[in-house]
Amino acid sequence: MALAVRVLLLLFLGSAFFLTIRLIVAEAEFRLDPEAALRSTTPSPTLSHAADLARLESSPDELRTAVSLNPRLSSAWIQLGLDAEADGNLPEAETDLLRAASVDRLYVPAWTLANFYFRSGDAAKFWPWAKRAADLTYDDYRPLLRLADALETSPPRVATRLGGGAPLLRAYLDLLIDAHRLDSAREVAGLLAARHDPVDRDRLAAFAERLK
Amino acid sequence: MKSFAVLILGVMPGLVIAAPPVIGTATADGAFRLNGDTVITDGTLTEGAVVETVRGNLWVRLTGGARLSLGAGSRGKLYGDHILLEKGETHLENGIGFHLEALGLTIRPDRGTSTGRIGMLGSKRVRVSALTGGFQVLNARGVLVANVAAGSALAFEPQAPAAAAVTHITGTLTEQSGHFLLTDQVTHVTVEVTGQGLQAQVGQVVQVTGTLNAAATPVAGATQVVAATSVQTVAAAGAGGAAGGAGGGAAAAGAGGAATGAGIGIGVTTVAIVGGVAAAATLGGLAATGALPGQSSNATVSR
Repeated sequence: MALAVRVLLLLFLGSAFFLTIRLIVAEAEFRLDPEAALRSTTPSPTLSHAADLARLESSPDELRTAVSLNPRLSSAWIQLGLDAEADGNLPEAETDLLRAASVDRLYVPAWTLANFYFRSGDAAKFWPWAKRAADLTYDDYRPLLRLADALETSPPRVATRLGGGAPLLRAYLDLLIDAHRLDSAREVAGLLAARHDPVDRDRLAAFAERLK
Repeated sequence: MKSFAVLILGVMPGLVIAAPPVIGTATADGAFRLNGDTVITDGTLTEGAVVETVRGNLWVRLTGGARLSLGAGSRGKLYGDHILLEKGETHLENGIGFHLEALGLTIRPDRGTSTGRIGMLGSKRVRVSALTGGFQVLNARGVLVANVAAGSALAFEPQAPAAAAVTHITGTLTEQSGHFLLTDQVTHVTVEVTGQGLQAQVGQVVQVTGTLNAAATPVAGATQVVAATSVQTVAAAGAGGAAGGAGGGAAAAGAGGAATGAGIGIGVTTVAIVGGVAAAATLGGLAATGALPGQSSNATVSR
């Protein structure tokens, strides 16, 4: 009896472990190359059905049904939140988007909430979610930086509020240079230079050359 | 939806100064491009935002109330009241106060409930399919070049600037208080026709080639005045073949290279030219002819 329980327990833990690893790998693939990940995705019929329920063209009723069946379906919560926002119901929109973030601690709900608070003009709530999204960003910081930069006029403060990590500073520097905002870029370059990371030597040298 | 606009504009006075105006949201199944950046799932649209899809659709909700979607492989520049479609196809609904621009053409719904698909056909043509309600198509100068009725689809190809005033239309010539009117069978645009020998053609299906007289004010019921350089009587709608007429094809051939003067007839491949824009039904129209005025083609079309 005890042996059977142990076997069942091991099977359960093994399945959970496999599922967790699979989700982590899928998430990483998507972050690194969303388009390739989309191309290679072959969801199981069950997952496909769940995804269908949360499709963007679904009605609110269908989405509510989806989240009642699976409260962890963050994509459906996000869609409900965006629908509510479009209908002018900001409290419900916020509730739904926060619900998405509570069941899905990855990038997308944080990014969506940062956008939501940006559109709502709620800077106090924007920054924590923007910081969280920045912490979870694997590759492209630029969309987030564009939002943050539009809210805050001081580039060093933008960088600090978003965590000030080296990858973020590099992306911010490139963004400002591309936008021909060289004075702002100089401030961010100063932050990057203060880190004394040899990796940044060429980037900073090229920028300095451009300033001459 | 109105409350969405009021809400956005009402609660973000601080943003109006610091940030570009928010015009709406974009949502996708997966990743899409927003101002050149890869964005996942959703993003905030500001005035002049460039959106591009790779796989799957992109749904856009604008604060003004318009809703549209972009198909896979589409790209457009979004403003609060219009989209500049550069590639692919868009589906418009709730388009009141909203219009689309492509290849210099302006495509606008004739009522708020109009829904339709507007897509690029290669790099030179635009297809407009009206699903519910109708759409008006105007050229770069604001001249009405077509009324696309619900349930129909037309393809458009702007001609070279030198031929911008060229008009070539087919329909029944009528008289109204001494003015001659013709509603083109392809574009459903009613024009006032001026020229010699028109009285004899009243009541007949004719093909008129001429130039737009932008300085003239059309009679009520018409949107523009066309000075005819060629008027040809057509035997019967859909029968094909020209039955002679006052003018001849030579004049038409000289009008911006628009007409061949040979094999003139109306049928599934009829091409109209209004305000320097060629238009044809997409089934057997521009797509079937393969080439349009100024291009080499042996297709028998009405030009």
